[in-house]
Amino acid sequence: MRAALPALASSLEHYDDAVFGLSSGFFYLPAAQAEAWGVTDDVFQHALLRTLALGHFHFAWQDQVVDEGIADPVMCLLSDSALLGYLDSLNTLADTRSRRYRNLHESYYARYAAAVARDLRHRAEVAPYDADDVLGLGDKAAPGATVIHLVADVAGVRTRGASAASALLRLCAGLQLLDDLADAAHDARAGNLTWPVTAALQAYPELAPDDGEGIRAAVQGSGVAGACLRLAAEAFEDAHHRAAQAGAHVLEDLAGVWARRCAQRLKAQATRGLPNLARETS
Amino acid sequence: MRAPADLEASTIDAAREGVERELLALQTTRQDVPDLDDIRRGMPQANGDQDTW
Repeated sequence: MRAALPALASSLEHYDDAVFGLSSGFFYLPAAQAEAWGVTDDVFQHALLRTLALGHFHFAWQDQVVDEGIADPVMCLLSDSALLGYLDSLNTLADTRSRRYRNLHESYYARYAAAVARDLRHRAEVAPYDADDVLGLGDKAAPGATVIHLVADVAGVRTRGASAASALLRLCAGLQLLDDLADAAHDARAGNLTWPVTAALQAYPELAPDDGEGIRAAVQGSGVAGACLRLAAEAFEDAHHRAAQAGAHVLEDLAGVWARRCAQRLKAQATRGLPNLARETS
Repeated sequence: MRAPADLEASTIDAAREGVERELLALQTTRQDVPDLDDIRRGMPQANGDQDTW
């Protein structure tokens, strides 16, 4: 980016690691999976992380605009170069001039855009969630799936890429469910009508969104807490299964850890005698 | 043994069924939810917002 936009080069130093994704363990997952598939070359690994950082920078800016309606103007100017640099780097990493990664990016970006569009519809008013809304929660991480295909290609296991990418998105669906559940009180105050917040307010319409403790209780009382945990557990099990099919052991291990954590939380919930609605009504 | 595409379709169907089952259960139970104060008394203390990712 420094070379492409010399006038903004010094501004890059002002952004912390989080903007480039470097502080998230998830950021290193494709590199770890590449290594597990035998791609251990340091030059490739560093180039892969640089590529991911460029992509992350672009989406960090885009998410700021989507979430807050405003973003750092210099970041806005830089994001164009970040996205172009990311897309070019995918081809460089795989040593190809084909449109494969561009096509994959466009396909996964469409899933991301659809997920964000569904999110935006839920910001305007308390509206019920449907199956597509809930099933697509992991698609907000969809652009990250392109790199999973790339590392599978470079490792010479191209046919495993699709299963590994679908495992990643199911894993992300489970994580998003847990995130939305954990953040319900904060999200309700901020007007972010996630599934747990919406279900809580529908079940207790008299509840004020800024009553954090009330929202936490309503998330339990409405039964959506249990629903989130059960669906997250299913998503993690599914991710685990798909990753195992793909021989993607890093993803498989991670999904397995989350499946176990989720099972423990469900057990704790049952011990506390909190509602377990779907099991009682099915 | 099923082909990968069949397996993919069947797991997507299963996931959808799971979500639809939960949505229906929430809708049904909305008519008769437990008292919020009772739930508050049995809840552990808030641990702040958490970041799963």
